[in-house]
Amino acid sequence: MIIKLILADDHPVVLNGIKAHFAADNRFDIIAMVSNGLELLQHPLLPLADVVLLDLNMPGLDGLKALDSLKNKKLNAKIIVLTNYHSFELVKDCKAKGAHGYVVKSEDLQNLANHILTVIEGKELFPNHYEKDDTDNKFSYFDDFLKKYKLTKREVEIIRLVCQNLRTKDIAERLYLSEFTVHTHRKNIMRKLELSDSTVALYEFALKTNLIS
Amino acid sequence: MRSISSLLSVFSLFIWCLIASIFAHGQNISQAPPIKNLAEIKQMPISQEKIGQLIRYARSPRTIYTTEIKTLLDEAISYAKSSKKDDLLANLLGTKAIVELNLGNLDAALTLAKQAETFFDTLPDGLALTTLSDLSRIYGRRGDDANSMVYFDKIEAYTKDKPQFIIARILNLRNRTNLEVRNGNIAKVATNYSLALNLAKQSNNPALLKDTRYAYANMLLNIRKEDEAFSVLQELIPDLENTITDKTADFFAILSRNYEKNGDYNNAFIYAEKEFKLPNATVQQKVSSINRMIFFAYLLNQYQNLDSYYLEHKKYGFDPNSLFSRKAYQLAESMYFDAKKKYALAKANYLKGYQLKSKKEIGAYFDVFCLIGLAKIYQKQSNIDSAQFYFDKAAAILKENTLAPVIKLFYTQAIKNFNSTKAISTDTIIQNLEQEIKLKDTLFQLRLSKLSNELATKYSVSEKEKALALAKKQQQLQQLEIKAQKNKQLLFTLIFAIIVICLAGLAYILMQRRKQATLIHNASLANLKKQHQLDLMQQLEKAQENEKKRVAERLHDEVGAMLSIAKLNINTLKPNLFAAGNEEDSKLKVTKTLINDISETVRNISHSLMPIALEKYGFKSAILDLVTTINTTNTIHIEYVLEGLDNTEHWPQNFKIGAYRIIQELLNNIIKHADASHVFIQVVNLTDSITIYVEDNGKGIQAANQANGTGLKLLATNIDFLAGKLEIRGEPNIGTFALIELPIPTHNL
Repeated sequence: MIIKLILADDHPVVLNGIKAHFAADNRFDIIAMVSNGLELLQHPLLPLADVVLLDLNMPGLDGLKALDSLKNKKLNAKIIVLTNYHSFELVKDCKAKGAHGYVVKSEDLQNLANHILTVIEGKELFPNHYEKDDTDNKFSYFDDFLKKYKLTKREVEIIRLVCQNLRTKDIAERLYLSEFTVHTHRKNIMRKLELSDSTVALYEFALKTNLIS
Repeated sequence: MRSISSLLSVFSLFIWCLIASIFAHGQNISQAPPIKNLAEIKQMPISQEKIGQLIRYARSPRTIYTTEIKTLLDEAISYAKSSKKDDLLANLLGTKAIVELNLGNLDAALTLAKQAETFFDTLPDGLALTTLSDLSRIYGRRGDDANSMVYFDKIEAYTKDKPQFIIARILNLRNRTNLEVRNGNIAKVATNYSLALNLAKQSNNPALLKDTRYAYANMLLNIRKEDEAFSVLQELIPDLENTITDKTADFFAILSRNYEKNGDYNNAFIYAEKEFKLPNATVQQKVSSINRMIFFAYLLNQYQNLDSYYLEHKKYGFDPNSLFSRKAYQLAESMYFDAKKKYALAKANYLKGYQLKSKKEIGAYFDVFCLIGLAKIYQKQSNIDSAQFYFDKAAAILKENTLAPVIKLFYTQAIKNFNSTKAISTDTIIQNLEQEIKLKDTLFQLRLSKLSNELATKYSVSEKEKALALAKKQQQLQQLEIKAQKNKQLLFTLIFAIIVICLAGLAYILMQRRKQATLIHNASLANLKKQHQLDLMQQLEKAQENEKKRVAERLHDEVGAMLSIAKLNINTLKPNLFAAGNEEDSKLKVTKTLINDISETVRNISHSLMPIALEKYGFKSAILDLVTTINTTNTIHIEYVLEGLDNTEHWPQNFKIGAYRIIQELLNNIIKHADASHVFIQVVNLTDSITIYVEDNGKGIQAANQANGTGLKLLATNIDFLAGKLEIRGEPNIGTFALIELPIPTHNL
């Protein structure tokens, strides 16, 4: 079977480049080329497409918005995002919006055919960025017990001192920090814990989490 | 008249001493030390104090005047002249004038006093007054009545409204009256003295009041106004005996005579006796008073001491030059014998007294007593005809002369008694009775009128006092009014001053405001200029950013896309197009690498120009990307907390970019310089600011380190640009933390 492709990119160079790339390949048939999201969504051949190659950065309705609409249309077509942006956030985003693949133009275009085939097979295709495993690292800035509150060791120390009824100035002196730093830490703590700006609330929190007895 | 004037001149001298003593007394009160004697003063070195002592000495009434005082005064005068003390000089000149006056140099005294007077206008009150009194005194001594009067007037005018000079004013009034009397003008005596007395009463100075009363009594005595003198003297009665002067005897005589005239023989006797017992009574006064004593004793039928009186009477005898004296002597003699029932002797003496006659004087008063005495003796001896004869004679004298009613009463009583013994018709008795009643009535009327006169006088005096008090009150009121007016004026002045001050203050404030306004205006102008510049800069910045963004986008999108296609094409060339290892193949390889490199470079340039992800996908995503990229591509491990930061769309572009670049810079610094394995980054979105906290476990930043100095400087500049605060601290081999707080601008920067 011939895989029907629709290209959506605002750059003619890209459109023509890909077209040329697939010209000699009879596995693929480029049935339409559009230069923005709106054009894509309104294209009559869109339901026929097997794969949509979607550029994220387009004038008018851009790729991300087009993704939402395409998802709502419940098309059969697989969507591969073609983009210049190598962003893990964007990858996540596109995945969430129902894209089936994410290809960075500058890096992986020569394997585009394979990628299309992979997607057609029903697999997803996203750059496998892995973060190094945290568990390997014993060292952490977070407090072991209060990690879920995203509190650092330094912040926990400050909470303890605040609950001893020490003033910012005294805490600063004790920790060899400036008052500004301690004050900022306190503000950050309250924000993180979403507490009102009162020592009583902090004291209650400290009691609850056994920071103090 | 001459005797009166000589008396008066002696009298005025006495008053001057009095003034001097009163003044001296006043000075003694104010200046505690007593007057030194001349020898002591002489030994003192020349000084104000010495001169003061000298003046006091020279003006003291007890001073014996010598030329030595003059010498000392001359010395003082030259001192006063050299030290240019006008007050002192005037005082000294006046004092010297008094010394000259007392030494008998009347011309020199006048010259000096006149010299002193030239300072009059500049002198203090007391001294000015002294100058005037000195002159009046000198003119008085010179007998220059006209000029004396001028100065009396001047003193009166000067002291009139000055209550502190009330004594001086009274004495001046008295002196003036003396002078007037001396010139035969007695019209004003009563008014002058009643004023003087009232002033003296006002002064609350009993000594002065007494002294003024004495002076008035004296004056009345001198001008032979015994009746008025009597009323004045009555006021002085308790004091008369304590203050014995050469006039006291006269005063007692006046009192005695007046009481006699009123038929008050008791008091008449008492004052006659007092007169007689006065140690300084003259022989004439003794003669008169002892005779009168016998006379009153006889009339009062008080004979117990009559013998001793008679001895005195015999001792003093009579004044042979005075018919009155002789008649009085004879009458007393007769009455004594009459009382002793030695009727023969009594008759002889009565007759002798009656028969004493002179061409000038008649002595009708004595004659009546003599005749009645004779008549009464004849009546006792039952010689009715003789008695009748003498009664008739007495009646004839009474008819011819206007005599005091008291004597008429005496006659009437005697004749009544005579008639009752004589058997005559009841008509006559009734007639006599009627006459007696009438006389008694007259006498009573007289006393009454006297009393009422006294009352009237007292009333008028009190009225005058009241008037005076009223005047005083009015004066006080006036003074009060003046004071009130002054207060008012003061108030007005004050208000005016306040208004002026307020206006000045207002003007000042306005001026200041204007100044301030100008300053503010200038400042705001400068501010505006600055703002304008800032705006321009920001616009420029914005334009720059936009341009950067445009360039970045174009680089990234267009050039990137083109490069991607170029790469695609090259990468999808047929493999083994060129023989492996030949020149074409290696050129192709170089081109491939080059295109990859260009692609990478373009991306980097575009990213450094503008983090496009930030613009397109938000602040938090951009930071996350940054962190993820570092975590995936570097050995460094970043832990992070991004709190909030979900709604950053309203953040101004500059702020977003600024904050992003700051974080980027911090992380780049750590990667490049810190030599750290672990990094913690936390960005917290507070209500109106964000805090950025970055900590690493590197070698610890050192402020002095040149290598990261420029990076830090750039960081600081960026933070400054966003009005943020930075704290950065490193500890060697432990790590570094940087804390930044950036206020979120509510408007475009």
